[in-house]
Parts: sequence; structure tokens; C-alpha cells
Amino acid sequence: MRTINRIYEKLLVVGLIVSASMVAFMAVAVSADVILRNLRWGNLPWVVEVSEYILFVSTFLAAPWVMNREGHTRVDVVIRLLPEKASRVVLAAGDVLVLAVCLFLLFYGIRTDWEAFRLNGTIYKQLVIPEWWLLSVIPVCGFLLTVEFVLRMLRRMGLDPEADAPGGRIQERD
Amino acid sequence: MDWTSALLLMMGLLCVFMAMGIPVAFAFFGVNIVGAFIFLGGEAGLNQLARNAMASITSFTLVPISLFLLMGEILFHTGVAFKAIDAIDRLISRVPGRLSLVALLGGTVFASLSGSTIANTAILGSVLIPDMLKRGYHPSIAIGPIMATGGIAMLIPPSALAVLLGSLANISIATLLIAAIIPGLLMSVLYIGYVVIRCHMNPDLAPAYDVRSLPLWERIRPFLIYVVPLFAIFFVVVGSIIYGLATPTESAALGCTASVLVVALYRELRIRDIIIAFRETTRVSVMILFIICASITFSQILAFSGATNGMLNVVNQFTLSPFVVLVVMLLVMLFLGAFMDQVSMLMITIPFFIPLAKAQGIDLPWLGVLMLLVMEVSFTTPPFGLLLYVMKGVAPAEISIQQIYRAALPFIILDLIAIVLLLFIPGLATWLPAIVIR
Repeated sequence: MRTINRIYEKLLVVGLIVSASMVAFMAVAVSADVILRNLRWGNLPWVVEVSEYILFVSTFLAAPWVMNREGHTRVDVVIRLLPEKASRVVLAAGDVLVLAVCLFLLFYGIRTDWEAFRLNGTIYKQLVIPEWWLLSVIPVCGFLLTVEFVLRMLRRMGLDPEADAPGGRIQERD
Repeated sequence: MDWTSALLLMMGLLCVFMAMGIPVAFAFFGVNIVGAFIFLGGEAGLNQLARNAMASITSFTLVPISLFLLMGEILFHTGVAFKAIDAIDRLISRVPGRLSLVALLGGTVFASLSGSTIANTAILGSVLIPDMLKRGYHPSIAIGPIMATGGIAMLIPPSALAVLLGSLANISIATLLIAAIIPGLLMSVLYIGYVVIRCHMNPDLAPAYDVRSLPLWERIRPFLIYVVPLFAIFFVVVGSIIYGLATPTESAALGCTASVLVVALYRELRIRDIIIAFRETTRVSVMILFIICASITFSQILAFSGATNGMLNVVNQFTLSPFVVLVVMLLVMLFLGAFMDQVSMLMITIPFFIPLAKAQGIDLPWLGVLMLLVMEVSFTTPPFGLLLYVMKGVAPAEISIQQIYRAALPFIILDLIAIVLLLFIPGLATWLPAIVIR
């Protein structure tokens, strides 16, 4: 279990690094495009399109890391009002529902990506790129999120020695 | 299925999922799966969801969300923001509630440099609150101004939420960014007036203390060195939009570049700090974009099921005046704001509010600024107001969450006054864009 946790943590960090690097590239590229254009030194016509793709890819690559760090916002007003035992049950039920959503992202992500690959779906804009390249981040995200919630459930059931690892609980705010 | 059942099913499931503590983005995804299966043709609808996820955020107009956040995080983590607070601290002396005014002025300055309310509140809270409490400031006058002014970051450009609202509601982002400047400054003035009057009437709230006597130049010099150059960043962002040199998205990228340049000129550019700034930007922007990704499909399913039109027809049957409709919309947002975050509020209300506003002939930029103001209030409304908990995180442990709630209350009333003023004087929002946007 420890090895799986370690590998999983590393994959999350890789997702974060790739995602943050792409945002940095986007900031530099868009700035360069504006400056070049206003100096009448030409422009970078691919910048708009690449920035749009970066927004999508970076979001899906880093979403599992954000989940692992409890960064996805939730409305926990009702949970806080419940007795501890009841709130545990409701949170566990919530985790099962989220796991179902993650499995959906994984399954339908693979399916949609495979369809795009099989039918040679292509995006024709300034750049011409195969659609499956972009869609492939959805199953990757779905897979990592599925692992996250499986690990959370194991933690809840006391089957994970690293029970204090991040995630699996609403962090106390007060 | 008739539209009322569709509406009840979609909104009901969403409320149940959210109440269960499911992360908002996943709550939307969960409802979408059910909604797509029922209303978008079963299996075909489910297949469409993945493509919709991609289509919803591959939009150039959403890029500033990440970049406006990045600007603030760069200034925060490199320590430049802290030097600016110190400079403002030296500039102000011998006024009632001196440190609270430092917080308000510092917060307003940062609002023009950062799109992140969290970063602003965290900076001011961590720097000023320990000093305020040590000097005998009452928690209400120490904490309240910092939370209130932290929220102004989402009004004065750069504002990530204004970009999000403009993009989703199809309101010109440039217009919305410029329109929010005067209301943002108005709120700041209201806060300053309140602090001065309150501390003047009850000096025990903020006991006067001896400020180190410095020659005038020694007080002004740090301000000129550490604050005035920061306005260059604001002018890069706003000026490039006004003069037509860049789109709002491009201005956000220029703002990031300007922030890095300013930090480099101060010789504070360290790789480690920049990495942390990117990490924190990713944390917040991914959270927002993931919700957008799920909730845009939610709006589409609502529209497709007939729920949006059905709801609008019902409202139109009441033959309410546009002003009453507007007030009701704001009241709904105020109510939602007590329980959920700003992005979720937007995502739930926009599918209904924007078509309704168009049907009623309500000026969209004006509505947009009013919505931003209400969202600003919701940052500090108990029990869920995000800044209440940010403040709890940075304030000393002895400050209870109840004290923080109480500290927020007078500033919530001031915010409501600003909303009423804007309701009756739309020019506060519409005048500036009309004269500056070319």
C-alpha cells in the first residue's frame, strides 16, 4: 500500500508540475504576442489556440492534485451540523458518489478518446491536431481521481497504514 | 418530463449532493450524468459529456482567471507585498484606528494588483493582526477591515471573478472590469469613513500609541519606492485595455510579466518563491476551472430540458418591474452567498438571471457589477463566507470564529449600503466604461 501511495503521490506532483509549467508558458507566450504585435514585429498566431488547450489540459492534469490537497471547494454547512457519527456516514456516502463520477470520467473518457482516435477526429483551427491528443487527459484525470477515492475509502475502513496522508476528510476550519 | 419536474430533479439533486459535502465540481458532474442520460438521449448524452467538458473551458476569455491570480501570488510570495504594507504603515500617523486604516489602504492598493481575495486577506491578516492585537485593538476593528478590504480584490481590476462572470454571462469583460472600479473605491471610502468615525467616537477600540517620529521625507520615501512603482502593474493591465493595446486576456498576461519585472527590479526574484506562486495559482485556478467545466454542461442540460424557459415564463407572468426583478435576483444571490462559494453561486444563477435580465431589458454590465458586489458581501457572510475562514487561519489562535463573524457584520452593512447606492445610481458603474473604453 505504501508503494502505491508513493507512486500515486509522484504522479500527482508530475501533473502539477506539467500544469503549472504550461500556465507559465501561456503567460510568456501571450505577453510576447501582444508586445510583438504592438511593436509591429509580427505576431504569434497560434497563441490563442494553444492557450485554450493549455487551460483545458492543465485543469485536468492538476485536478487530482488539488483534490488530494482538499483544494476543491465544498459546501460543508450541513455536514458540520450533523453529529459526528452521522457526518462520517454522509461523507462516506459522498465519497462513493464521487468515486462513481470518477469512474464515469475514466470509462467515458477512454471511450470518447478511443472514438476520436478510431475516427481520426481532427481539430482544424490555426493548428491541425488530432482530437484524441487533447481528450486523453480526461481518462488520465479520471484514473488518478479514482485512485484518490479508492485510497480514501481504504483509509476510512482503516486498511491504509498511511491514514494521516492528505485527503479523505474535511479539514477543520475552526 | 415537464419542466417543473426537470427543474426539481436537477436543482434538487444538486442541493442534495452539495449538502452531502461532495466537492462542488463533482456535485455538478454527478447531476450532469443523471441529466444527460434523461434529457440528452441516454447513452448518446453520456458520450457527449466528455466532449462538453473540453468545449466548456477551451476558451481564451477564461485565461485571465489563472493569470490574474498569478499576479497577486507573485507579489505575495516574493515579499514585495509585505514591503508595500510597511511603506503604507510609515506614511500614516496620528489618525484614529491607524492600523485599521493601514489595512484598508493596503488592501485597496493590493486589490489593484491582485485578482485573489484570499491572497490579499492572508497578506494583511498575517502582517497586521498580531500588531493590532498587541496594541490593544478590539478584534472587531482589527479583523473586520481586513476581511472587508480583502473582498475588494474581486471588484477592482484585475479581478478573476469579473472575468468569469463576463465570460459566462456574455458581458464585455473590458466593460465589466472598468465598471467595477468606482464601486470598489466607493466601498473602500465607506470602510475608511466607518473606521475613522467609530474609532473617534470610541477611542478604546483602537488605543492611540506613539508612532516613531520620522522626518516627512523618511515617511514618504518608502511609499515612493515600494508602493508607487506597483501602480505601474495596474496601469499595464487597465491601460492596455483602455488604449486598445490588448484584450483583457492579453492584459492579464502583460500584468504577470510586469509583476515579474517589478519583483526583479526589487531584487526579490527567487526561483523558490516563483514556484510557490505557480503552485498556489494552480490550486485556486484549477478549482475554479473544474467547476466551470462541469457547470456549463449543467446550464446546457437545464436549458435543453425546458427548465430555464419554464422558469422565465413564470417570472414574466408576474409582470414585475425590471427593478423589482433585479432586487429579487440580488436577494437570491445574497441568500445563496451565505451557504456557498462565489463560483458555485454564479454557476447556479447565471443560467436563469442572464436570460431574465435580457428579457427585462436590464443593463448587463450594471447587473454584472451588482452581482460582483453581492459576491463580495458573500465572502464575509456567516456561516460559509470564505474570508471568515481565511482570517481564522491567519489570526492568532485566541480569536474565535464567533468574534470573526461579529467583526464582519458592520462591513456587511456598509456593503449593503453600497449595493443600494449602486441600485439607485447606476452611473456609478456605467459612467467610467462609457468614457474610457474606445
